[in-house]
Amino acid sequence: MNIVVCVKHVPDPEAPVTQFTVDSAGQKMVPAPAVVSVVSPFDENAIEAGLQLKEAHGGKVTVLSLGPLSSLEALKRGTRMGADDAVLVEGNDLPEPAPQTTAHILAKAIAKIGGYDLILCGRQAADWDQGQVGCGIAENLDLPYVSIVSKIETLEKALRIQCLTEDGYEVMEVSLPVVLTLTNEINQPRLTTVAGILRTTTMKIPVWSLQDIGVDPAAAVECGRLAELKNLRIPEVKVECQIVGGETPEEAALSLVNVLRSDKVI
Amino acid sequence: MMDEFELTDQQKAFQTLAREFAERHIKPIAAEIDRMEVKMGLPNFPWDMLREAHKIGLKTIAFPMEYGGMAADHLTQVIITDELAYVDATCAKTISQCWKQPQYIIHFGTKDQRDRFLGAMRDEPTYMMAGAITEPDYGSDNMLPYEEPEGGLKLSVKRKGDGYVLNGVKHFIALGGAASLYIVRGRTDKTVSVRKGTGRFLVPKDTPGFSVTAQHDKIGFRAYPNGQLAFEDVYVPKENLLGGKENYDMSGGPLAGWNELELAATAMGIARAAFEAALDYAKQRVQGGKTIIEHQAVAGLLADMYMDLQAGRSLVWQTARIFSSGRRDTKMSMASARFATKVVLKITTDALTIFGGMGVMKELPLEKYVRDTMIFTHLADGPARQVKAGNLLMRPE
Repeated sequence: MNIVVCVKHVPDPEAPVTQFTVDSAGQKMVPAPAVVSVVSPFDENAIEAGLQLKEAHGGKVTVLSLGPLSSLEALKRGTRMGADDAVLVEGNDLPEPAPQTTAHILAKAIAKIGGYDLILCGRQAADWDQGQVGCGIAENLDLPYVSIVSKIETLEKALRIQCLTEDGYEVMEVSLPVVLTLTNEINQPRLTTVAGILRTTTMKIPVWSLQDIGVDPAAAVECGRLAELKNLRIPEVKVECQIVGGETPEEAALSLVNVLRSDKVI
Repeated sequence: MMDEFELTDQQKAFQTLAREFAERHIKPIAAEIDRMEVKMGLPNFPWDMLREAHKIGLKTIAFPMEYGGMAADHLTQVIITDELAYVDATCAKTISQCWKQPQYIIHFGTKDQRDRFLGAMRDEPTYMMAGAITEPDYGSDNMLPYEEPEGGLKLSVKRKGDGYVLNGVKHFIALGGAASLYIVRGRTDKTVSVRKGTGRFLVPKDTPGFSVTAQHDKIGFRAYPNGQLAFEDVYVPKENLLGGKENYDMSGGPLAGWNELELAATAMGIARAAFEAALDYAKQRVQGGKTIIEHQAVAGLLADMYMDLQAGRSLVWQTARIFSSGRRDTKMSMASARFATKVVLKITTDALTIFGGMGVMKELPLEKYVRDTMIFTHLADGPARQVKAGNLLMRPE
């Protein structure tokens, strides 16, 4: 089974919020220099799932990313975990790409890689949390798509998928090739390994330009104009304390319910 | 976190691996295995941690490629050990012992011995080796081997048929009771000094006549076993005489300085953990209306701790760099071990001071850092190493 895993290099989501600011134009989040970048956590789940499928059924795992050259570190994390190949699409010419733009470019790169049976993504990236790229890739490649997948079983030329819903989970069978976005319930990503680190040291990860994969930058940006970012700001968190009283516990409970209803909490 | 040293991409990757391994597989068990009773059967030994280390290749990283490793150099070993010891020194020592003891077989063993025993280390997740040298009446003599034939090591070796029969007792043996193979040093020629008149015998744990008779209960490194071994007419076939040589003088060889760098790296990992804990606490603890780091006495103490920590790390890492380049400068490795021992003792006890009453409470790891440090000053390091370091300086350049 040949698997492509899409990964994004993001500022460490575990860094405290005080380490982030918004630029003066209100368009961009700026992490402090001390904030390191990591593979978006759900994407690590996707790498792990890909490696487990490869170990069970053979084939190979290719990790793919769109971003600046520093995103090579995210790909190296994948190969150090055990991925066979890696490809970076260098997107230096692009402004912070909209998810539709990213999906358009990654789909072109996946088409160039070719021979895929399965495309895995994290359910959403830890920086913008939009969760749009996976379905965008499926749309661009005209493939079936299942989101928020928490379990994968292999069948003959198909997969049995469990995906989370608000009140439980659904089980469905999908034919290959397919695009899946995975959630963290599916596995615990493995650590890197000594062998993976050694192999990565001697690996030359190819860096493709947009031209290499037949993408017109202007057209790619244009397809992302479905939404416009008006203004970005860090919300102010206000905490107010209200004591809800009552002569008896029953009265206090009733008062509390009334307050919660009037605040539209329940 | 301190990354002042310029590391290669690969070294940084190993540092990250060790940090994440320690966080996932050592941190959750460190306090528990320290507090468990030490007894025969080793209920507090971190077997699962060892299996995980084997799974990712950490256990054999210092081995040649053909035996599942990458012949990791000393700087890489120091980087990894520092990260592991930062979380728990006993687990760090368990892993680094897996790198060190097999070096005898890697460098001095026959091809058959390498295939049999290094192959087992590579293939069996919990297979480890222990070096059995120290005896109840032979401790610092190991560090300072006297030239008198009557001095030191007593374990007797008698030739019998195509092999040897061992009789005697070893104690304080690291990984004793946990290891699968014991590299036992015994007297083969009583007419010359210990250095010249001893050989090493490879004794699997299930050899008839061999037994582990006690586990030493220590104040620190509690989950790292030190066992007492008994040899009663233990027959060792000649195939298990290390390198096939009865009298094997290994001093000054490829293992020179290995012990000292291992000790120094482990000590500096503990020192860093104690310093960072003290610094965090001093920034949070309020006394007299301000954080205690704003009090000059505490700030000064922390400044000196930082100075010692950086001086120690600089010396140890620089020494590892020298060894990695192929120059085994044993004066530097001795200096590293001695200095790291002093630094870790000072930093851990100063950290206790900064924590005040909380420092001696078992709910925090500070008191464990101090207990673990006592092993360096009394069991692993001490006056013998100081004298040996002095002897090295006497030698002509």
